[in-house]
Amino acid sequence: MGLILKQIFQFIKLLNSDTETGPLAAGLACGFILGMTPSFSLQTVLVILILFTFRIQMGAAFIGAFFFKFIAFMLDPVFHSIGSAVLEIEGMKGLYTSLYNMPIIPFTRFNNSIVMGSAVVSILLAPFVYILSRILIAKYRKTVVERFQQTKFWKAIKATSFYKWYHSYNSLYN
Amino acid sequence: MTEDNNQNQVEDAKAKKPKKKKGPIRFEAIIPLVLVLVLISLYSMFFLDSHLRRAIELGALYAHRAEVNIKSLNLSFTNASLVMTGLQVTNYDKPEENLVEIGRISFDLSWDALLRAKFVVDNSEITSIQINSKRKRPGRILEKTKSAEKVGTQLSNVALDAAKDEYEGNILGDTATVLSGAKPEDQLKKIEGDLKASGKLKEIEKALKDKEKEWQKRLATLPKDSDLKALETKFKSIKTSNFKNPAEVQKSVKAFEQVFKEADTKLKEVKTAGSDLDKDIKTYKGAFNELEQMVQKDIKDLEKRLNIPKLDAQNISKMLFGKIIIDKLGKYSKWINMAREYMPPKKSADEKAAKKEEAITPKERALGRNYTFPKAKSYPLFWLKKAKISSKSSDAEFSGDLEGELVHVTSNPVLLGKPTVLNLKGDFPKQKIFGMEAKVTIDHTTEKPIETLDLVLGRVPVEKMMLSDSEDVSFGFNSAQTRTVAKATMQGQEINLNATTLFTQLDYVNKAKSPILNEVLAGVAKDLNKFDLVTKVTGSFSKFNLGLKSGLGQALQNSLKKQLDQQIQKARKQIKEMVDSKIKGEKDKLQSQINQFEKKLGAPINNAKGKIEGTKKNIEDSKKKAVNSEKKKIENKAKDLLKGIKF
Repeated sequence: MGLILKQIFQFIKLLNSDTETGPLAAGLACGFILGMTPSFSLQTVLVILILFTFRIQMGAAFIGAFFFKFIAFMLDPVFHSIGSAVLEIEGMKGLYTSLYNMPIIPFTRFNNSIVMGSAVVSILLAPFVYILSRILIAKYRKTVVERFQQTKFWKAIKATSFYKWYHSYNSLYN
Repeated sequence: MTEDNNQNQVEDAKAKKPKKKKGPIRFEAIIPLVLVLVLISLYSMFFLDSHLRRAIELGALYAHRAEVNIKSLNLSFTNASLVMTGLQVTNYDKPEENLVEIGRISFDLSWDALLRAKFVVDNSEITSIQINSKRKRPGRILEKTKSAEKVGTQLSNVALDAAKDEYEGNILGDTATVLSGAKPEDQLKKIEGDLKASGKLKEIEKALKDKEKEWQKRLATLPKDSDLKALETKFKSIKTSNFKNPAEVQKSVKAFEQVFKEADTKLKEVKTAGSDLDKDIKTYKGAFNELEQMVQKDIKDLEKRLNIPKLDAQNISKMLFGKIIIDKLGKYSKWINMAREYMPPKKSADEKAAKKEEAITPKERALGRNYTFPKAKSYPLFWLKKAKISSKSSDAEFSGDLEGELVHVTSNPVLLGKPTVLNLKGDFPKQKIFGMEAKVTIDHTTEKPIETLDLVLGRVPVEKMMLSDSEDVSFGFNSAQTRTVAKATMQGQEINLNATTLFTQLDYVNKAKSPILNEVLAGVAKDLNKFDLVTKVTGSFSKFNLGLKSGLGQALQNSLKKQLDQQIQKARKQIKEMVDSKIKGEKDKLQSQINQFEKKLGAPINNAKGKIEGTKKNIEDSKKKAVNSEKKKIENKAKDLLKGIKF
């Protein structure tokens, strides 16, 4: 429970920070792919490499992966049927056979129904997750964060010496 | 307050100040990553080889418990190759020597296989092999841990040890003892308590006594004379004539039937006891007959204790060469077990079913289904395609001019479908071994693993080979030359070995205390300047038949037979007489006990049987008499009635 709360707080902190909406949303989309993949495989490494190379919010990606794992867990039967349907397409058998016989590619475990199903679903839905996250983050920042910052309560807190001390500490060490 | 507002305004202004826009690529992470990669590359270029070499040396030291040295090691990622030079494996028992020393080992691995997490060695070379070479300094030795040997190996070793004990005898020494006159009396005195026949006798005697007590008890429960008399009184009281009406006849018949039934039950009881007694007597008579076999066994044991030799050519050959051959078999069994462990053959349907049964575990959720597609290219986990083996003779203790190759060594022979083959050809000039040709085939591609060895040893010198060495006799060779042609196969657990060794240029050692034996051995040494040894082994390592024939055995048989036959027959006869006399008294006593048992218990049973049968007959007769008298009475009445009617 402590871990989940920690993740939630970190996520809220990220949402409330100055981090740009784009990298945050991209992080969540990557987290979506990571979370949906049932186990550690080559595509996981690929997503991590993308995270590392491009300016994508890593924290958001890992927090996203953490939470999406729970949804994926429940969606496994759906992934299994989608994956089975994809792997049983007669016209694709030649391609699958070639991939199966290639070096490295079999490490993706693409021939597993759940891996294939989750990959298809997560890759297809990742752009939508990105767009949706962008809209929701922007809306959250505008409606919740900005409004909160205008409240007297927040202004009073900002005026305290403790806040000033924390602010300077955070800008120095965070 | 104003001061605070000013500060807030400054902060807001700072926050609003546009940050420098960063590009989509995270250069601040890529640069350190590149740096790390460069460092790894530099490490692998300058340090990895030496660190890997030390790691292998350390690992091998703990695995082998003796120092292992590698002069240099070169690992190339681009060529996926490994070259090792100066490999020295210390001999655990002789740290100043190497068990094996290999000048150069190289492996060229296939990248295609490596990318599939498989190790396929396309080419390999193993050169400059030396056995028992001297080390510059003694190797480090670690204390040996209890080795977890495989049960199969242990079993076969136990069987081989037992077989070795069987051929442990010193046939010529035993011959010398017999020639000096065997004295069975002393031995018999020593083993008197151990005589198997004597033990069996006592056992039967005790069982017989117990059985007799049992039978006495049972006899007491059987019908007695008083019971039979009561039965007689009962049936005699039944009315057999002067019946007033048919109902009275019916009543008598019923009473007879009841008494008859009672007598029949008693008879059955007695008969069952009789047949049980017959069975018991049969058992004891059978056990008594077994005694004779025990006597024969005792005689054989005594002959063995007295070391009375069997003078046939095959036995002589077995006793002379058996131990040497079994020692060699033991060495091969170890290697075969090892090959079967690391190169597993195809599992039979039963083994697969057993494994499946073992593997049944609750299926984890969300495992999905793994689809399989035709595999055009698949490798076993390890596959050494070809290794060239070559070696030049040197000053080392055991080195030779060898040429050969090893192909298809794999961890999964079933998948590969090719057997492992080792071909070796060469000479060992220092050991004066010439014309060695060996072909070893390890075929584990099917359910029944087959290992075959074809071996030719053109010329192998033999030095100081003592076939019999005791105080009484020494016989063997100072030197000889041998040529061996052998073919061995092992299919499943079945071994089949055929080998012929020709011994030539024989320089005999023959010395015996007994003048007769001395003369015999000298004659053999003079006449026999070459002989062959034909070895045939069939069966399994745990139970095998060893057939050995040799010209030497034949020659010894011919020369010794005349001299010894009479003495041996005399000693055997003496032993038989002694054993017989020891147990004859007890045997006769037991025979009479069995006869008495039969008589004592059989008589009352037979008596009771006869009496009950007589009573039964009387009952039957009285019943018939009663019925017939009434019948007659009715018939007479009917006749009288017919007489009164006149037609």
